[in-house]
Amino acid sequence: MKKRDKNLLKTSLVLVGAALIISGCSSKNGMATTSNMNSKFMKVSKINIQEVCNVQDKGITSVLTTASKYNKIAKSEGLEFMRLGMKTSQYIKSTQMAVKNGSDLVDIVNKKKKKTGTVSTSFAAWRACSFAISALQQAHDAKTTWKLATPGDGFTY
Amino acid sequence: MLLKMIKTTVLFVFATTSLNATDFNDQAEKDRLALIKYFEAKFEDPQKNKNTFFPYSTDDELKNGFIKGLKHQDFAKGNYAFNKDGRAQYEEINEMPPYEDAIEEGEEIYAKKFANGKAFSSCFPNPTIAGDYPIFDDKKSEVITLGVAINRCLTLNNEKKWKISKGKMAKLQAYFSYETTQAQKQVDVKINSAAAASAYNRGKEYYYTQRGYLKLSCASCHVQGAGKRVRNEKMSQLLGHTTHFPVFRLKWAGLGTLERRMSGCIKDEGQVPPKATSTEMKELLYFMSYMSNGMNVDGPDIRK
Repeated sequence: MKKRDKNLLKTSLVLVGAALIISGCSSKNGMATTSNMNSKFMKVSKINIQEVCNVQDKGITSVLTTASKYNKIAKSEGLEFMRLGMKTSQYIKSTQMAVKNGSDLVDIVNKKKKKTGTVSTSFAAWRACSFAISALQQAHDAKTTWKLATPGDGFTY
Repeated sequence: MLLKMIKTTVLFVFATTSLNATDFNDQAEKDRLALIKYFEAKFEDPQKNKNTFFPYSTDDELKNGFIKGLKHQDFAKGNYAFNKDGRAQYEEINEMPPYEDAIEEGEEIYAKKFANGKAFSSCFPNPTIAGDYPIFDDKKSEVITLGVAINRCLTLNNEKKWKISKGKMAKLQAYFSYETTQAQKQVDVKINSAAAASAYNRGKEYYYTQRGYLKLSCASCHVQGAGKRVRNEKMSQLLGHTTHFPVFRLKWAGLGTLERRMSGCIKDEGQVPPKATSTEMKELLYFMSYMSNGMNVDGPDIRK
């Protein structure tokens, strides 16, 4: 092969390589939504909520510790639950305060801090714990289920 | 000979890869067309399609409560596209729209000078832009909603940012929306890069993901659930959701932005909503707005 031909071949290889790189960086294949949530929540997905959040068996302090542990992750992932205007973290905090003060009741308050109801400390602890873990388990399941609800993707009618 | 072969190969590879690289909105277009097809099928004749789409509705409700044979553009009216009773009430309220003052105030805000002597027209010389947002800023690699763009304009002119959900923000957006409607423009959200397509995909995933203690996705109510009744309200459909914001909501007794509405929806699902300027919220609105591409902008409007 002549020197001129060799140079041409080199140049064309470089150009083809560049084209492929551009295509790879910008094509739809590079667009896939990536998330490491699956592996992150794999362990949580196997937790038996009825078991670990059972106040009678585990004790209220242990259940609240479990709630705090998992709600911290849920919060950081933007998955924290709320009900009756109270976030899971509010349930945890209010229940901890009630236990500390020797009270059996937790006040439900709305966003203006106005009392709207009352629940027992054991129920509030159960709710906080089950909410914290469910948020993560749900997110784990959703990684495979969301497309099934999408017209054109997996939803059929 | 060798030179010719190399030239042809290089040209061919470049042509192929370039074509591949420009289809950033391929998936989004597929999704949008599939959604139009789904809603046109669903609302073609609710009574006839009861078993497929409305198994829990009564025959009477399906026969007398729905406007049939809806086509793409009809859905810009939201729930009132198909809801007979709701449509009648909506038209009655719209005889004296409660958002008219807000449009005028929005126009005043648009014209009012900042402390530095400039005005919003320095950032938005053309106010008929409601259908163009959200946009994807490739330099910053993030979605820019109209609210964020307005706040960017304020900070650029040494003014304080506004709250995204209501107040002046909603009024200025009402003016933009009104001007866009008057100019008979359509929603025209663009996906021009791989990063934009990824943002769209994340927004789409957020929309279809079950969340909150009720384990509902946005789609549970507004795709599969659209047209079904909850208490005495028929749920609206995703197609056309973003065409008419900001809206004057009777529940709010005032005007609110799309971010405000979405925040309420996510709370209703039983989850703490993302902040109005968070990546999650912006990408969610990006997806939703793309789904309304090609539909007439029809805001501001009134909702229950």
